[in-house]
Amino acid sequence: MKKRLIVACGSGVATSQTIASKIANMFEDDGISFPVDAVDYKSIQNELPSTGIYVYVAQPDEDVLEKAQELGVAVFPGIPFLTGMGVDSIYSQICELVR
Amino acid sequence: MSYKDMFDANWVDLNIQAATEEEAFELVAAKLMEAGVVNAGYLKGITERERNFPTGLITQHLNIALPHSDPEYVNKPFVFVARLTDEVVCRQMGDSQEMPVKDLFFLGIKNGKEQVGLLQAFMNLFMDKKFVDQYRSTVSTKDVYQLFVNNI
Repeated sequence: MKKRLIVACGSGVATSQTIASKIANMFEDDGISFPVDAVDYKSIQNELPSTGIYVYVAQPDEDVLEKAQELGVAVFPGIPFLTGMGVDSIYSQICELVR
Repeated sequence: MSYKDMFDANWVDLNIQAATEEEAFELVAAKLMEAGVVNAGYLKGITERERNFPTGLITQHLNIALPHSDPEYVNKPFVFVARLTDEVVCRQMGDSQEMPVKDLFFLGIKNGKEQVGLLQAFMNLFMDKKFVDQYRSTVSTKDVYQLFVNNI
């Protein structure tokens, strides 16, 4: 798996940055060293090949999901990191991949 | 710039009558234009962005929406608190499911790097039941303004 987690939202500014820093902090607290980047959904096709884990804010299109599957990129929803609803289960799934 | 400075008692409206989310956008955009904090492209920017990348969030205690435009339409960073008299339908961020919402917080983000903490600060408030209960029971614009300034 490529050693990089990306968070993609509509502009790569507000939401993805917020979630990316949240995940980065959680990694840090758990002593996990794994790069986290916020990206713009519009450039997602270019970002996927260098990515191991893709956390989405903007709902991904079918072709994006297909490409992720083709490249073996694990895909997770990012909204739970904002709302706190269901975050524990998603975070532990991500942790299993990065540990 | 502190997040507190993004709030203004004039930018709290707790009695917005709108039949749709877009109608609420029009009313709020007009006020923001008048105040000079956004430019003429803002309404179109926010409406189109919401269509492609919706901003509704179903949180544990309250459904909210956080409409924001690309930074180019924002002259000065702001938060506009808009409480509708009746629910309208919007879509949730991430999965685009339809959801009812009455409480919209327009985030005027000018510089993503500087204001990135704002969204997190907002989410922390809305994950806090005590804050949400206070927010819901507060009916004066001045008190809502004060509530945010004291807590954010």
